Amino acid sequence: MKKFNIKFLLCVLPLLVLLSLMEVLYRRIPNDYSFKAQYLNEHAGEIETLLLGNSHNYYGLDPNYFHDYNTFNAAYIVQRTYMDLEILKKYKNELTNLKTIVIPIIPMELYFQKIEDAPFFYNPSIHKYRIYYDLDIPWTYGDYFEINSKMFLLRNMANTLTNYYLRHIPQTSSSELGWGTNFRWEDARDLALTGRETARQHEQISFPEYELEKGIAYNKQILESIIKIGQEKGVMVYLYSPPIYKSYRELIDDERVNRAIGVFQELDSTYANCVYENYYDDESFVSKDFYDADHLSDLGAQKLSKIIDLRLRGRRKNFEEQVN
Amino acid sequence: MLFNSIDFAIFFPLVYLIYWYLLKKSVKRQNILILVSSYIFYGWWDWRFLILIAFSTLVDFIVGIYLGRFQNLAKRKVLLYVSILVNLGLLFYFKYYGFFVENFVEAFSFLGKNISFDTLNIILPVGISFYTFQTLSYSIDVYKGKIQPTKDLVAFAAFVSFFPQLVAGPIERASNLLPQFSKKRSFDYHLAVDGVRQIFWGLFKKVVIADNCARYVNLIFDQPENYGGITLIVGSMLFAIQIYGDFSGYSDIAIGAARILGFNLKQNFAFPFFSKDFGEFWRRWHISLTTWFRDYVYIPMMVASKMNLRSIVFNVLVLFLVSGFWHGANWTFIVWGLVSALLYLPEVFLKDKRRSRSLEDGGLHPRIREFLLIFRTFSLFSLSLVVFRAQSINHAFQYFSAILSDSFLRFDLGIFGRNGVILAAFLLLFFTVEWSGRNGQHALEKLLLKWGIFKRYSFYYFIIFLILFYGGIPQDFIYFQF
Repeated sequence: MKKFNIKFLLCVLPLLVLLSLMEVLYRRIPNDYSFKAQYLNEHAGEIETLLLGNSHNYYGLDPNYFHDYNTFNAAYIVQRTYMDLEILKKYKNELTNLKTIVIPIIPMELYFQKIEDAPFFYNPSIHKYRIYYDLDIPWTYGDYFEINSKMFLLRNMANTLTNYYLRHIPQTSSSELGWGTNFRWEDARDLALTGRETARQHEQISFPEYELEKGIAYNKQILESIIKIGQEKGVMVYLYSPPIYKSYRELIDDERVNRAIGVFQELDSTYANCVYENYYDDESFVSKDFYDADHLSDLGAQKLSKIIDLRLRGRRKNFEEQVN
Repeated sequence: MLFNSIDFAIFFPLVYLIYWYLLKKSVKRQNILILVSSYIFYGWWDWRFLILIAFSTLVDFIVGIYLGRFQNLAKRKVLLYVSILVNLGLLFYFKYYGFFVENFVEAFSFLGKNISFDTLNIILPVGISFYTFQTLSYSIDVYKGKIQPTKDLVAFAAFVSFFPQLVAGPIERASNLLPQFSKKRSFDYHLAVDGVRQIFWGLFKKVVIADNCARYVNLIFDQPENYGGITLIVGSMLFAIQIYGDFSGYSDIAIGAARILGFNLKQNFAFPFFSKDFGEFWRRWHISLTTWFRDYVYIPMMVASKMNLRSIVFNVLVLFLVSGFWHGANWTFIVWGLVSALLYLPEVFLKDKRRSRSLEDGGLHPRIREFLLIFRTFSLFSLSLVVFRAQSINHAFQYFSAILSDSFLRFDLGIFGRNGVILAAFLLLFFTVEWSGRNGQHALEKLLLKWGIFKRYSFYYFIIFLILFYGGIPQDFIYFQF
């Protein structure tokens, strides 16, 4: 047995060394998570409008178009509302000037599975919130490492290492205020195809039909927790459903959409600091405004940012009058 | 807990160290450790599943004890029926209840009567089809007097829940595995080394072969109408390779892990893709299940019926339909069973009398005739799997009609791209290694013994490198859903 153990350890030792080295080098590469966490650590007190949420805000709202308030885009791809809540909990004392939180929520999101149960493709980066934001996320211990979540996908990790250290290609795609810059309309994907893909993916990560109530309760409760933090701090929480392209919209069950919108409207009427607006089927967004059926392009982002900025000014004024 | 997860990579070495270092002097304590770790392993999915397995274990243990005590045939029969009823009842309730209710409702609505029925939204416990069959075979074997009932509850519970093979087999017989829990186990260096090798090869099959195939299979099966006929045929072959890599990979890891703990499990796959006909194929594919059905369904039916052609056909049909249905509560599995029977039956009548060398005796490469027969069996099996993989019968029809459409000769090279070339290279490596190692229990068992240390270790590192760097997007083991 001793012989077996020694031989086995000798065999795996070079691998452990290699993997450890990869882990250390990989973490040293500046990425969007480390950038956003660092920005919040250093500038939280200056932020007046905080954009949270997933890729819809990350690609859809450019803080440069938000004129009256200091705005930062802390949204990111597949950043579920659970993560938004954890980020808020962590920085709520530092966000001393915060006036508005903006969160995008597509109707189907109300039915998404619990973050810890969702399929791998939908939460491949949970561990990064623990590593770079230092959030306390109560799931598997392996999520302390980059290497674990990349297990069996180390090729991607090796590519990132090569690109950064040998080819000197930066690994961030956010602007200096956190907006996702790489969804250019010139590179837009096939809207019909991505409509089908998105509908299928969103169906896959939703609670099954018989557990829809569970899904609604789970996702609504997270939104309510965010709104309550806003309430404590006198912050307005602006929820909105971003525009999506018709090729995706047509494939979604209308009943589910209306039900979800009903829940968002209920939050709007229940909490004085919560506003909900719906751009889900806003026809003013045309094909050029979309990068794919579910996301805006840089042109669409410009358009939506201006609209939301305008709406926020009006809403903010109302809210302040109400509070005072 | 998944084999291809960091959880298992921590769990298994821990069990190994405690098992061999702290408890090696006591079989009883080793069995307790196996039982506890198996329950942790299984409860990792959902602790509620433990109640079921504990219940099934207790029922069959008690049935076994009483079968040992009673000589009266009527009483023994009652006990056997209790075991069958409990195990198949659990299986029916958790796996098939919803299916029967839905079909019942649909049948009535077809007749113009709308009835509603609560399907209870039952969750299917992982691995239930495997361990219920394992415990059931114990009771049947004790009833038939093939084995003596055990009085050691811990050993029996460890046999039922033995974590390496609990959730996806191999479905072990009590006659093989249970006695291994009673005798003293000593660490066998060669067995352990071979176990590690088998685990690596299993991981390679799962992570590099199956998960990489899955990417294209999902794409092609999701929208068959978008692809040409040849692409769809290739899609069905990739699915066959995926399911083989996935399932036999799981079996390899299970058998390898058991070997490290000093247990010998039965071979579950014997290189089925090199079979020259379907008879041979089914002797090599999911051996633990096919032999289970042979011993507990087919042979009793043959004994009870007349030995004529009609009863053989009938029994074969029943056998394949039941084994198809075992895979899941969906008409697709039943139809797949039927298709498999129809592919197998002609061989019963038109048995090729020409002598053909056995797979293990073959040379460096197959002869042309052998290759053609192998290819025929593989392609027909792949096509039959379209029904297995389809979400519904309608979906399967869509797939076949897309194959037979005007674009039959079209091959959509575009969807494969550069990664497709890499996958083709992996498949070449995979089939070459499997062919070269086909005379062993697993591909690497005998193959590597001929190699020098440098070549052998280079190969190990190459395989590990591929597992770590070229795995596909992690997918659940397909057979977990059964």
